Amino acid sequence: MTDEIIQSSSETMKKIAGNIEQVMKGQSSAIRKLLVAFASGGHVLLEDFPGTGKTTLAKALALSTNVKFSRIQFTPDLLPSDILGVSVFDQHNQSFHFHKGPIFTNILLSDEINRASPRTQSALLEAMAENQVTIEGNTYRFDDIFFVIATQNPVEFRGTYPLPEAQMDRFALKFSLGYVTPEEEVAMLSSQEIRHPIEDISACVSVEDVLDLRRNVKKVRISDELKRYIVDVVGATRTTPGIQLGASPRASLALIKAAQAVALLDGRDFVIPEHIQEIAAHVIAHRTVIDPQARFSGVTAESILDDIIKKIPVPA
Amino acid sequence: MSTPPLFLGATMLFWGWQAGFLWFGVAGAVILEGSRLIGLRWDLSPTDLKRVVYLCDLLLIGGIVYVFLTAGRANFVDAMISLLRATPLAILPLIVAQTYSAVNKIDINLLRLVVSKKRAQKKDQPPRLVDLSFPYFAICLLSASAANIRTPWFYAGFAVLLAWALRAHRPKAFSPVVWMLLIVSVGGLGFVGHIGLNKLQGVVEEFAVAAQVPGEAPDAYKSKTAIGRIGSLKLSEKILLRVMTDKEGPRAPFLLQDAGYDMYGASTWFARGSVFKPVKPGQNGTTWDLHNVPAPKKIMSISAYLKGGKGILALPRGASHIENLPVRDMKLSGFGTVTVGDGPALVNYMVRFDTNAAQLAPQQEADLKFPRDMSPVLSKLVDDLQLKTRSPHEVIQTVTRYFNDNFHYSTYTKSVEMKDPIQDFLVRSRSGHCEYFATATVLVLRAAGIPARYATGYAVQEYSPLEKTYIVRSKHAHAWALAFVDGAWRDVDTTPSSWYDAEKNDSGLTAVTDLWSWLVFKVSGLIWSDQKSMFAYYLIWIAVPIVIIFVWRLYLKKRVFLRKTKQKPKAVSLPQMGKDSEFYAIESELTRRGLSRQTWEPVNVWINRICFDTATPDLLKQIVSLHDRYRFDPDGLSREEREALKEAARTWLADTGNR
Repeated sequence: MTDEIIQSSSETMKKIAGNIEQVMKGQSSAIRKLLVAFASGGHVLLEDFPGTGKTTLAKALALSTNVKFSRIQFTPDLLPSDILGVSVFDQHNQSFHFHKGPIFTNILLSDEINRASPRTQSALLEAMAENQVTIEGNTYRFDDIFFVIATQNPVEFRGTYPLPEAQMDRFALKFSLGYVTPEEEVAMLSSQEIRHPIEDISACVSVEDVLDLRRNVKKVRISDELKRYIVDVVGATRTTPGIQLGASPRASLALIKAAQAVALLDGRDFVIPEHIQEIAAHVIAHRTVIDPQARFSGVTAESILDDIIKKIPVPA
Repeated sequence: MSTPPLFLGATMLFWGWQAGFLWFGVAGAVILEGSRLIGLRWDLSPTDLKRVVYLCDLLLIGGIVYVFLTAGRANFVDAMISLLRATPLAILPLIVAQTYSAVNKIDINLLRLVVSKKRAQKKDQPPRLVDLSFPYFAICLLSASAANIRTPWFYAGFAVLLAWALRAHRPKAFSPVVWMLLIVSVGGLGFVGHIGLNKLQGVVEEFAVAAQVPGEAPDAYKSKTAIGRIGSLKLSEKILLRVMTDKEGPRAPFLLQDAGYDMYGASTWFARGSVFKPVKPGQNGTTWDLHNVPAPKKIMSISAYLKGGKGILALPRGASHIENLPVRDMKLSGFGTVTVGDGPALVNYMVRFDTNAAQLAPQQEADLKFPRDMSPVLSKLVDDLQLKTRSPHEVIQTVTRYFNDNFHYSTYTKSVEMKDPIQDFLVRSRSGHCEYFATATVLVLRAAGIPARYATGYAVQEYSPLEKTYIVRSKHAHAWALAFVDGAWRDVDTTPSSWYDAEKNDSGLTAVTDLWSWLVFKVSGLIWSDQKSMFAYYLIWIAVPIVIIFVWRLYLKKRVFLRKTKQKPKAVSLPQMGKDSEFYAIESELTRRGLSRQTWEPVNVWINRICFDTATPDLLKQIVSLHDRYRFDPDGLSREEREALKEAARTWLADTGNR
């Protein structure tokens, strides 16, 4: 990979990041993670309180890249066909026509995914894993870019169906936005006095650029020593006390891809240990199941991963 | 093992040497350090480990029970300390299990002795794996110190082992020389300090002894009686002595004396006119000739507990030879009191005695004295009984009959109306326990002109069908008078024989406590007897099958062979490019300056953290960037870049070195 290619990929990501930052003030680290997932081809689960800008973030990403965007608000009565599409009888032609559902898009925002019934959730998650759906014997492939941003609210429990552990594994990254500083919030208020800045956002990269970016991520080099480090970190979750279910090899795969994307974002064509450490907790934590007793004593998956990373000697 | 090589072995040797278990120490060291040579490992399940823990518990609890049974209360603390000396031996199985287990750690949840039901039900409790090597090291040191061998070698060994343990964790910011100097100086200060503390203690003790008020004299000099005390006398059923006589020996009841006294005052008898003289043992060290006379034929065997290895022996009248008594120190008073010291907790001695040749100090002036304020009462009694006109033999008979006929035995004293309890006893109440009778008899005999003394001891009166010996309980403690008649001291027991019945107790509980007492005695006997070799012999017969079963079960278990020799190249085969990077020289230089990197900390994070403390942060970052590529880019560095890295590192080191 030549320096120009790295430069251009890095540029692409930075351009998108800059664009989103016009709307999302003070969320650069969340934007960075979103871009890492977007570039590595994994899906994202945002867990945060209402009103922190989850939807805006997703919309801003879609608008910046000139791709199709759709949004599904998940409710308990949402059915799989509401997402995937449905065949409708056409009286003129005396035949069934398949009406594509909102899932046939490039960037899909699944809002409050844990409100839908498990049946609907798994329809979406299957589509995410396969990048295609099969309805009534016909297989429909998605576009090359299919990126799901799912959100869920961590405080509500009534009328929700928490995602099963197996399905959490489908998301490459899980992170939250968090509240911004008071100064940034004031800036946000000022910027929205007249009109929402998202209306001013225009696409800054083409679909072609995004596909190039995704191809280039795969070309980022990683040494065997660091692969071993990734495996050690992921493996440690399987033996650490306080974790009931450790992370799967799929976590290792996702971590490698994410680390490659981080490296590219930093303008490098090879991975260094920092890249792995930066993203590891967001890739691994949501795939583990914390022991109820440990959770009761205030331990979170993130804190355990922090401990794990501080325990394993890093290659230097 | 997480400990440095040979470290635990050295600890075991040190402990074995200090605590006097050298061969156990050697064996332990070989077993523990052998694990580095032997690749054999067991995949021990929690159940197996639990069994090992139980074994250790068993050894520890067994040790405590053993100590409790054998030591008695007085030297229990000493015995516990000697148990502490052996503690590493009891825990050794657990450490061996850890060393030879595949995990190399022990789940400390298993060490819990008591597991609550709730916890037991939660089987999937996460294991809390802990490496017990260092705790074991600490226990070994504690044990070694319990041996209390006061040589400088202990301190030296202790210091060396501690330094060894700390070496692995020494701060890398300082050179080993500085660290060594620090350790040596701390060790030296500690050495000087503990000697100083010892000296200080000596000085304080001397001072304290000088200032001390003279304490109570030992029992052999004084016997405080319960005379005049109102209420019931509480007597315990505890078995103190076991007495075996041969066929010609005396039949119960007979008396065993432990002390004699000559002066009475204020409810207390004193031994004033007697001097204790040391007795020298015979050639074998366990035979004692008290009076330098030919050994009499009559023989009696007595078993007694010695509290703290010392005490007063209970002896029959006329005892002159004592055999099989392994004590260091024996003293004899003119009143026939024999004190011993430095002996075992249980003694089993044989006494040769001749009742007619009572070898006591001849009569003295004090043997005829009685308190002046009692003389009216005593004179009246002497006159009433016409004692002055009778021969000594008749006097004794008369007095005995007088007390038997006119007094009755009671451990309950209702009240004392007269000023002196003995006068009250003689004149008014006419009821009391043996101390009243004995004291009154002594005083009456003295008033009648017969030299008399007061003796304490035991009346042997109970034969135990269980043990097939006479047993003497605490409640059989007795007091009587000694009278000097025809050139010999004779027992004059005027207590009415009804007291034997009064002391009988048919409580069912006594049978149980007696059985327990007998078992304790038997076990103690095994331990303290000369037949120690027999005990060891039995022990081996018990231990051998257990060991065989244990080894056999271990053999059946799933075994894992550690292929260390093959594993090592595998670890090396993991490609670690760029390990010759010049950056490592910079890292050690920075570490030397106290800016060390955490093991988990990536280089960039570290450099960003510390670069403000360095002279040329930009150069450093440039070096790190090249180093990163050299280490982590599979394509590596080009030749020019490699040279650049070398050059930059050299420049940086030179720059920094000059500062």
